[in-house]
Amino acid sequence: MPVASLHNEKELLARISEGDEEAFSVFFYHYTAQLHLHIASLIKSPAGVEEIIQETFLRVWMHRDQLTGIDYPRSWVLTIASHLCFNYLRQQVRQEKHLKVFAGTTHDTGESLQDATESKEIRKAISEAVGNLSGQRKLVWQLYREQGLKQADIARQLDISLSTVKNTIAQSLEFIRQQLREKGYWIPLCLLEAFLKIS
Amino acid sequence: MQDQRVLYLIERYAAGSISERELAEFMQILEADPQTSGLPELIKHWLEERDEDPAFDQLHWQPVLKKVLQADKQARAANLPAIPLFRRSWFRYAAAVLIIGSVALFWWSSRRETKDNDEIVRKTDHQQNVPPGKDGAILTLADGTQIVLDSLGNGEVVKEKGSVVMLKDGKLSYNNQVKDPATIVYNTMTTPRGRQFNVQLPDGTQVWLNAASSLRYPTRFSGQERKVELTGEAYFEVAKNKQMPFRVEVKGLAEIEVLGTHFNVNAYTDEPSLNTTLLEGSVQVSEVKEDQLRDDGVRTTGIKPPAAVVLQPGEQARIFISHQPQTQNGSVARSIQVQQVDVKEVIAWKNGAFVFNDADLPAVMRQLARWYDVEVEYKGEIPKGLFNGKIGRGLTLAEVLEGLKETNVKYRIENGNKIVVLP
Repeated sequence: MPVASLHNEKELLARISEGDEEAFSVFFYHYTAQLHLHIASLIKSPAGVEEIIQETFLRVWMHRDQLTGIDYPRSWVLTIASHLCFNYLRQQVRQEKHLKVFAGTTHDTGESLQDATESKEIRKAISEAVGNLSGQRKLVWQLYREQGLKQADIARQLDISLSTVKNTIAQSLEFIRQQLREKGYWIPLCLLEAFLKIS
Repeated sequence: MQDQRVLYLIERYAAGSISERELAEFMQILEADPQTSGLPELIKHWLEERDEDPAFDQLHWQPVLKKVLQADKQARAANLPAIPLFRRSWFRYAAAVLIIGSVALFWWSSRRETKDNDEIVRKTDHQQNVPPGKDGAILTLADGTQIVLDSLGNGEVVKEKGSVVMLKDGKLSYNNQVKDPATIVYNTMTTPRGRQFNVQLPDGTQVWLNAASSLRYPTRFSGQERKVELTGEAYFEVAKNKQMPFRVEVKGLAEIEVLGTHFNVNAYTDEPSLNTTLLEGSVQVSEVKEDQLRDDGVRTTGIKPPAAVVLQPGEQARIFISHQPQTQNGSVARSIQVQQVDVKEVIAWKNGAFVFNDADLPAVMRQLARWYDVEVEYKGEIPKGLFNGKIGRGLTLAEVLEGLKETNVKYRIENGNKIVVLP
C-alpha cells in the first residue's frame, strides 16, 4: 500500500512555514521517495524527472507561509507534480512529435531540449524578485535567508515585533510569487486555492 | 469509462508496453484541453496509487534539494535582459532541417542509433563555412619530438622508455611494460583551437581535453602522488587509488587534489575565473598564491596559508584570475567562491554541446573562438545582454551564428576566420 502522510506532518509544516530548512528536507525526501520512480516511468528522462521534482518543491517552498493552512499536503504535492508531468509530456508531444522520438521506450540519452531549463529560469526569476524587494523587506529577507536567522532573532536584532517580521516575510513571499506569476512561471493559482480554501 | 481508458493508457505508457496505436491515442489526449480530458487529475490519481521507492537514495537527490533551498537566498540584479539565444531558434532550425524530406528523416533516425547526442544535426553540403572542431591533438614526447595525432590511424604510436603509446578510435592510452622507477618521462598532450582529445593516463584515469588546452603527465606514475599539469579545460575521471592522490596543478593559480572522482577544470586564462566543478566523489581545491612560489617553483611555507575548499558533488569552486573577486551583492568575497551549478552544463562540451547560462556576448564568443578557431573583433560597443541556450558542437559556425541573428546582434564573417561584431 502507498505510504500516506508523515506522522508528524502538521508540526513539520509549521516549522517549514517558518523557513526551517531541515524540516523542509524531511518533507522533500519523504515525498521524493514516493514520487520519483513513478514520475521516471512517465517522463523517461532522468534530467526531466529531476526537473519535475525540483519544480514541484520550488513551488512548495515558495508557498511555505501558507502551508499550515493546507489540510492535505500529500494531495497538494501530488497535484503540483502531476500537473508538471502533464505539462512536460504535452510539451514533449508538441516539440518532438515530428522527430519521432516520443515513444514508450526509454530515451537513453537522458536529455531532451526542454530538460534542465525551466527550473533554472524559475530560480533565476526568484532571485531577481528577491533583488527587487525594497527597504525593510529586503533587510528582513537578507537576515532570514542569507544569514539564516530565526524570525524571533530578526525581531530582536531589528527591534521590531515578531508579528511584524512574520508579516514582512509573508508580504515578501507574496511579492515574489506575484513576480513569478507575471512571468508566467506559476501553476495556475486556482489549483492551489482549491487546497487553501479547505482550511 | 473514458477515465478508465485514460488510466489504462497511462499505465501502459509508464510500463513501456504501449502499442503504436495506443500511443497515438495517448498523444491525442495529451494535446486535448486538460479541463476536458482530465488528464492531470488522472495522472495524480495514478501517482496516488503507487508505492514508494524501497531503495531510495537521499544522496542522489541532495543537489536538487540544495537548488530549491538556494533559489530564494541570493538576490540578483535584474537590469540585464536574459536572452534565450539558441533554445527556441535552434529548435526551429532543427525542425526546418528535418522537414526537408523523408530522406533527411531516414538519415537522422539511422544516425541516432550511433550518435549519443541526438540534438546534433549536421548539414552535409556547406560550402564557404567554418566547419566545427574535431578530435585531434599534438603529443610532445620527453625529447621534444612532436606527433600529430589527427592524421594517425589506430595502432601503436610510439615506444618510449618502456611505455607503449596506443591510439584507438581517437583515444590515446598508455601501456607500461618496464617497472623501473628510474625511467619516468613526461609527455604533453596539446590541443590547438578547434580540436579536442581523449587520453587515458597510465593509471587508467581518463581525461578529455577541450580545445586550446594542454596536459603534462608522466608516462608512468610512481611515488606518493599522481601529478599532472593543466592549461585550458579538461574533464577528469580519475581512477581510484587511495595510496596515491591525484593532483592537478594549474600553474601559479590552483591545485586540485582528489582520490578518485569525476570533475571538470576550466582554467582558460582568458576567462574571468578558474572553475573546478565536481560531479562525483570529493576534491580539495587550493589556491596557490604567486608569492608563495620561489623562483624554482617550490612552494614555501608562507605566513598565510593558501585558501582551500572541499567540494561536494554539484558544487563549483571559482578562483578569480584577476584577483578581484566580485559578488552580486557587492559583499566581500573569499578568495575561493563555492556555488551550486548545473554540472550538465559544465561538461556539455565533452558531450558535444555548448550550453550558455547567463553568459554575456564575450563569454559566448570566447567559446566559439576556441572551437571554430576564429578571431572575434568588436567594432564599437559590445552588445549587452545575457545569453541562454544549448546547441550542438557539430554545427558549422554559420549555423551557430544563425541563432544570434534573432537576438539583434549584428555581425559579419571575414575571410572565414574572423567574426566581426557590429554595434
